[in-house]
Amino acid sequence: MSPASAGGIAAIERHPLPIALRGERRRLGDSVFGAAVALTGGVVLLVLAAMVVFLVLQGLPAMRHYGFFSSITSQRWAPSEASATLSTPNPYGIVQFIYGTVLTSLIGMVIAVPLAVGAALVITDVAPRRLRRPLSSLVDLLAAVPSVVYGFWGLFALIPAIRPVVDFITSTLGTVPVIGVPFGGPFFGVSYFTAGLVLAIMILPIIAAVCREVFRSTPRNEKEAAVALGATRWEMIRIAVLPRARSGIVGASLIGLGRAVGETIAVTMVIGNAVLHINPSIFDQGATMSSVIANEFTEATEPFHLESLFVVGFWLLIVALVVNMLARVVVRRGVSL
Amino acid sequence: MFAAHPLPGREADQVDGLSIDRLSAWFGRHKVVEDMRLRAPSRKVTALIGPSGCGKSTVLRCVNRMHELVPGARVQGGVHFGGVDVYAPDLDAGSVRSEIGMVFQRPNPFPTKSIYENAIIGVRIARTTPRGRLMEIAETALSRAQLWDEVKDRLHKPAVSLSGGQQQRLCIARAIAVDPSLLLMDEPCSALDPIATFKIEELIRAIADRYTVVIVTHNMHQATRVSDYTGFMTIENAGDPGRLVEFGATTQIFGAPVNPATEAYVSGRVG
Repeated sequence: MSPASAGGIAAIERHPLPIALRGERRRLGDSVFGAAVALTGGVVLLVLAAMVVFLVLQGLPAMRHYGFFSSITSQRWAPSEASATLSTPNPYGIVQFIYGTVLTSLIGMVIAVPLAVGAALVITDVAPRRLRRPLSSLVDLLAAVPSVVYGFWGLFALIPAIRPVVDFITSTLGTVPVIGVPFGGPFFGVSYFTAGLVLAIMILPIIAAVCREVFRSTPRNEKEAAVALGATRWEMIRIAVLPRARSGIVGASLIGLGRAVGETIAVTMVIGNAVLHINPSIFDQGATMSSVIANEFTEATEPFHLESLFVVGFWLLIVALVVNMLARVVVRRGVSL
Repeated sequence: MFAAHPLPGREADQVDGLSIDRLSAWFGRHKVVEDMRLRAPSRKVTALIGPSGCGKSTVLRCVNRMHELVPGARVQGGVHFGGVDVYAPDLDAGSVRSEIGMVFQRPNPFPTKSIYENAIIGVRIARTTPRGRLMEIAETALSRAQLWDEVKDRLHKPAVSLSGGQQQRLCIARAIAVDPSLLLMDEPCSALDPIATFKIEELIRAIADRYTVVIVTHNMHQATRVSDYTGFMTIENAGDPGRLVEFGATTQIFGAPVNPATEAYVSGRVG
């Protein structure tokens, strides 16, 4: 060690830094760049704020007429019962859409998360090295399929494929009293479950991609520690890879959830758009917050109909923002751990 | 004797030490070790010294078959331990590794696991010990690694709450908890401060009456302090494979080296 490092602070005080290293020295380019960055960042925030304000303003007449929170306490959506004067009960209840959004997202998550974690592990630690990159791109490619194609495929390929399985479930488990209610028939093809399944396939790539990066960041020396103790590949994954990745997996799942919550067109095509009330069976038809908007906005002619769709949009935005923010926080914490 | 040892495993003196015969190793097409021969006697500490890049660590990783994990890596030649051919075709690499302990350059405890869990993880993997004896094994291993007194009151705290030197002793405890017949140490003190280093060296001397130890080090003073035998490896030119230049009792290698290259290295004129 040189003497300079021993008396470091004192040395700096005695010998002021060269001018070039002192702060507060700015060029014109710096301030222009700073302003430009601030502007672009500001625009993004402004757009978000404007969107919230717009949704609230558009929905305000309905909120005023029926009461601010009446839409999220009622679960009956019957535009034909609405009139310009009658304000109770609110015919634009949206609980069943929140239910539909939550249920389909949940089904999607339950199916997609284990598959995505498995796929990511195959890509990072299991598959022969030559195959890892192609497999990885293949999963990424799934993300490139347009949403409407998923819907189309769900309608004409997935539904016929799952029909025998679902029919079996509805005719066995579905006939049991109480426990069987969520699995009851009849199954018309389009349903909460079908939508959840399509969502699972749609969110799988993003979850797998994030998990892949999380697993890849396992320090080599920790993997080697496990292997040197005689661990098999699976034991190495269980000991060295997965425990570290826990929060990363949660974050990846929340990112997937964020997508599932907002996904519209594919869901609208396979959920059946039964808007009236909650249907208790997952094999029955339903609607989500986004599907009802996509489905009805062109013909929203009843009093407060369009305004109430804006109310749905407002709550959808809130749900999506919360999920995404949660995901970001968890992922950031997971990466820095 | 057996009753006095709570740990399972064979008696170290019933087997000869490690013998490496005409070992060559490659990374892809690059030959990093050539014609390595070494006999590390049982229950002694054998040091491998030499300049950076001379293949010492690779030799070590060939012994417990870690080298072959690197894509494109290849090994030729023989490694026998206790009369068993480590590269026998019917022998599973995993079972070889669970018989041979390894300690790495940087302390690498499993960060999400507790001190206790780290100490017994090897036993868990080997599945040779009933659950009821795990605490006993943890205590024995941590005591031998001279860590027990420091951690006995916080066994269930995360391993990463320990200092670097303590973490490395925990890694040694983890390696010896399965009572391996051979312990490989790859520059175990290179990431530690002098006091932590001293403790590890003391510990190596203490466990040498029970285990056969092969330690790679680039610190020649460390080799003189801890080892009974020393092998000196070097490379002639950059890109050449590493070779063993001289092997002998540590006192001889440092006191009266036969080979001029060894003499130059241990006297500090090269490397």
